[in-house]
Amino acid sequence: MMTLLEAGEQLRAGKVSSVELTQECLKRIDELNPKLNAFLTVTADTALEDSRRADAERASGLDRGPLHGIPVALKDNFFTKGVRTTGGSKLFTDFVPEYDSAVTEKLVKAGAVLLGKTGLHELAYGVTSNNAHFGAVRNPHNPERIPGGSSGGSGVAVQTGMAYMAMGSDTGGSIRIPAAYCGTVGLKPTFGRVSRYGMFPLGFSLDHPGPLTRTCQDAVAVHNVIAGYDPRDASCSPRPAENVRLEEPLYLKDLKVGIPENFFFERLDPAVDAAVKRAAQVIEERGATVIPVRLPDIGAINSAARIILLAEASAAYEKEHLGRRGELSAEVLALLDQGRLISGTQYVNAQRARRLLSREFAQVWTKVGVLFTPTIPMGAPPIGASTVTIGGVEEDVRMATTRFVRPVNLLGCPAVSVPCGMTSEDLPIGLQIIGPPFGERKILTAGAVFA
Amino acid sequence: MNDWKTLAAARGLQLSDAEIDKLGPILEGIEAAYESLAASLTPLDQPAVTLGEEAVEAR
Repeated sequence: MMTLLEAGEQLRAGKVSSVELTQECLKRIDELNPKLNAFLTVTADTALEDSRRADAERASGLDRGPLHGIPVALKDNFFTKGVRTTGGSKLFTDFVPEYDSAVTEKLVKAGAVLLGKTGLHELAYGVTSNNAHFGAVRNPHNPERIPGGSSGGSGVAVQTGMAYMAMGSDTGGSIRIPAAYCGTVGLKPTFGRVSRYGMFPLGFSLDHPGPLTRTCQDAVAVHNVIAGYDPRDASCSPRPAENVRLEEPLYLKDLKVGIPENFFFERLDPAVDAAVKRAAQVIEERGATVIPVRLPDIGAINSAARIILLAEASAAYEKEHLGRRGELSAEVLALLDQGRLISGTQYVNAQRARRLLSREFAQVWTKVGVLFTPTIPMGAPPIGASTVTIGGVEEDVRMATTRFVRPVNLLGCPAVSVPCGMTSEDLPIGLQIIGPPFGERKILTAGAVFA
Repeated sequence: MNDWKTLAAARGLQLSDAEIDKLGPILEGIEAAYESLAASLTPLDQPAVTLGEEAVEAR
């Protein structure tokens, strides 16, 4: 199966057409979607129309860049003009936006072909993508397992070749989790690097849009298209977007890779522990320096992130929470109820703690360029499981799944999950590479060693 | 231990005993985590609610 960039090269060489690539993806969707439920909406007719346009443009000499003519998908919380956008919720089952999200606009302008909208956890508020209204999205490695969430459909679509790239959003790990459970690359850029205009919100100060792809080079290609300032998103960074190029020398011999001494290697599937440590050896063999590093209190960072998310999500959907309770699943309703019981004082103090913790964490970047951690402590749990047992300790699936990814949302740092091995049950293992704010180039350069 | 049922009602949520039984331990856990966070704060500590690049870099 080709990567996005390989498909682009084939297109430029005239060896394949965008129509052919699109037909191939639509065929895979036809074959696999009934079983895996990755797509909520497939826009086959417009996709074929767009692919014909891309081929005609290319024939006339117009090249819009690496995404021109490439079939892609969007998580169903990115607005698409004229195409239903549900947010994975019964609340918005029939919602058809009148405008595109900023990300949709940029992908369309870059000539990407939109195949449809991928399934997600209800309101992007969960880690399983076991959606009470639209059915469970299933892991291609084992359909009885979850693909992770909330961007589960995007992970499945990319892993199976139904799309060359699928966009996700990440509030507490929702790009990196499906990437790890499905075995793809998942990039959460720096907070404010990619506009959130025209997306259903979840956590106003925690939401990050980003791509799921087969390789880090593909993630770079997409990142270069979607990154940049947008005045329509109040938290979008005005810093000019760097055109990231991994082939430019960022010598691994100059890279210091930190391996956390605390928190991230506690209570893990032994296969995950071994795979991540092996990845550290691999990058060391490639010239990087690997050093142990002690991190600030990650448990406290997670606590602050959880309080902030509970309050922000309940604020975002207050009207729906109070007025349309019957249209929400019991799981999401319980989370919204919890958020409503967070006091104003608690929310503000969590944001005050966030500032302190973030300042403390910033010291880490004076010692290392990137951090290597597991993305998740274990392989994908079975659909419907509410707990997992790791190292003899029973743990809530949500808490176990988000332990290592949630803190990065609070810090706003970029992070990527890349596949780095398989568990004894033949399920993918993710390596999380975290970098300093706006350090996308660093994390993707390191990640490209593995995928 | 908070009376979550009364607190919920005050916030406009009419929750059943079963729902409270489920939520109670979770909320107590959040409270405990919060107490530990809040203990580190002094009146001079500002919140990280300024959104945008400056906030990310300052963090």
